[in-house]
Amino acid sequence: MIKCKAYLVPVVMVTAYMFFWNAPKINFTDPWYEAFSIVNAATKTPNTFLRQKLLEKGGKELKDLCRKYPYHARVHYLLGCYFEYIGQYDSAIVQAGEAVRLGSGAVVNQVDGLAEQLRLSATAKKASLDKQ
Amino acid sequence: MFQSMKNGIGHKKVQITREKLFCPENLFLLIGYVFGFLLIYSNPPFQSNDEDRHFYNAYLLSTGQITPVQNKNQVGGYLPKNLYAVSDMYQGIPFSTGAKINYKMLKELSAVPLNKEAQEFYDNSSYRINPVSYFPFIIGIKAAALINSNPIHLLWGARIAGLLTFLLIVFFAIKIIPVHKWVLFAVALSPMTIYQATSVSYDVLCLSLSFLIIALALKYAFMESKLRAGDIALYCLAVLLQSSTKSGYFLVPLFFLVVPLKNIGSVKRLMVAVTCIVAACFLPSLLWNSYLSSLHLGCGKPVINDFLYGTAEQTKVILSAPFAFVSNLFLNSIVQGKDWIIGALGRFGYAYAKMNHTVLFFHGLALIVISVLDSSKTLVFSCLQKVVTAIAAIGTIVIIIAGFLFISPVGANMIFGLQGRYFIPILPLLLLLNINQKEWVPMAEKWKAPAIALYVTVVLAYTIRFINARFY
Repeated sequence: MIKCKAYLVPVVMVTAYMFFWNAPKINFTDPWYEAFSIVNAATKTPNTFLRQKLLEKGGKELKDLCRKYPYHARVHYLLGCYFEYIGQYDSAIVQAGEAVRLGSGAVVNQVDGLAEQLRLSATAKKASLDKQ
Repeated sequence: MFQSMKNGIGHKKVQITREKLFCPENLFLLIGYVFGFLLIYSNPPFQSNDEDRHFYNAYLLSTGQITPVQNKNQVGGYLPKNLYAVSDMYQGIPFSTGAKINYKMLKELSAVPLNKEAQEFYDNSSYRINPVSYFPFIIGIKAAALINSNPIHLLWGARIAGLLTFLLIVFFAIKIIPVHKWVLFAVALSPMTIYQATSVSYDVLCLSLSFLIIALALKYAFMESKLRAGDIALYCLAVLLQSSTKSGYFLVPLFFLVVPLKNIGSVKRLMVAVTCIVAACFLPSLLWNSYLSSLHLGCGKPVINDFLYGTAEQTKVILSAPFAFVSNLFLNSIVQGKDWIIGALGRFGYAYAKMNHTVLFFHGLALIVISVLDSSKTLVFSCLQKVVTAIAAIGTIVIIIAGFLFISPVGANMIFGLQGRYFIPILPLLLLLNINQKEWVPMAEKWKAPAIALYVTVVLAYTIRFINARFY
């Protein structure tokens, strides 16, 4: 009995250690990455109907998040990517511009460079569309 | 008879020398010194987390630029152009895709002169860090400049000073701690701990002083005599310095409550001691932040702004759904728990280079086993003392995790920016929960010194090999 009691804490500690090391994989992420993963899934789906459904769902969630958190540069960037994918270049340019405005000049996890690239790419695609 | 007496003395001498050699603090110095120096030169320059920015801060302080200055919309100080350029050459190397540094590049860059007259304004995003954290590095930079002022040599000088400071403080911590000497030895020589100790980072003082605070509290708890005013003053000084380096560890100094009242003397003395400790915990940040506020500086360059982090907005979101906050804490622990454990044991630098998972898993288990076997036959750790230890250790873990959720992006579920190395200061406390007088094993007592020393040496040798293979 004494022995059992003496080893209780180490056994609990080892169990906790093993649990965290081998923790089950759960679907838990930030709402904006979850919404964007739906858009991403849509781009990989060959089924046109399903793709449309997923794009609508992911796009709606991203728009809602942008309204809820208008100060997040990265959410604007993700919404810009969505708009570019569905061919709404004007909206993509606006969202990328907002991401550049909000997220300029940081030391780490910069988003402004990516957003600038998106703005250029959407502008180029829009120009080529206008030409046609 | 004379001969046998002589042999006896000789035998005793050999035994004393052997005991001295195998005492944990001396072995710590020896192993820490050898592998510390190997790590200083194996770890590529400016590769530890935020090492470039900490080094700029230390350099600015070493040139007397203690107060940050405003330059248009920037806040910072003046750095030699070459210092910045050399450090910049080592940033953004994609080690994860197999990129390496070659020794030729290292040799060429270590020959670049400092040229300190050619300066430029450095927009310092980390100017709010308390300068106390940089004391050892300032001395290291000054000393290195006497021999060779090239930027890489200054960095090596700063790293050496940091290592020596760490070794000195932890040496005393191991020397004075009455129980779990080998646990402190193993934690202090764990790959991640020694990696941070050989980097230019506030972790050098934060880690070593946390270990010292724990050792002092335990020493006072098992002292035969009553505490003197000087003992409390020494403890408060260690707390004052430790809290100058990093916030979030304020429960660690309150580990002082393991000291029984009979050792303190009276309730009045206990109240005075606790008041002094609490003051020492919060005074450095209060004073330094008030000083910075009085300068009316602009906001300067943001460290990160892809999201809106923390702020009152995040507090509002959390308070509006407290249950979601608690469930987020738990879910984050499940999702990121393994990464945090790896981060506390062996995940290195900007490249997040993780050591072999199997090695790290067994290293974590080894620390637990050492904490069980490193028992004391005579010193009894009471139930109340265990409760205080648990509150200090587990409380700090919860405070760190919750604190990071508060400063994560507004509306985020995932905790952002929390690294496992932030838990290293409380590892000795956590492992102290395993202390066990009832199952003292004489066999373990006999073999633990050579076995633990050998084990730590093998793990550190593997660490050096891993870093060399990964970065070069």
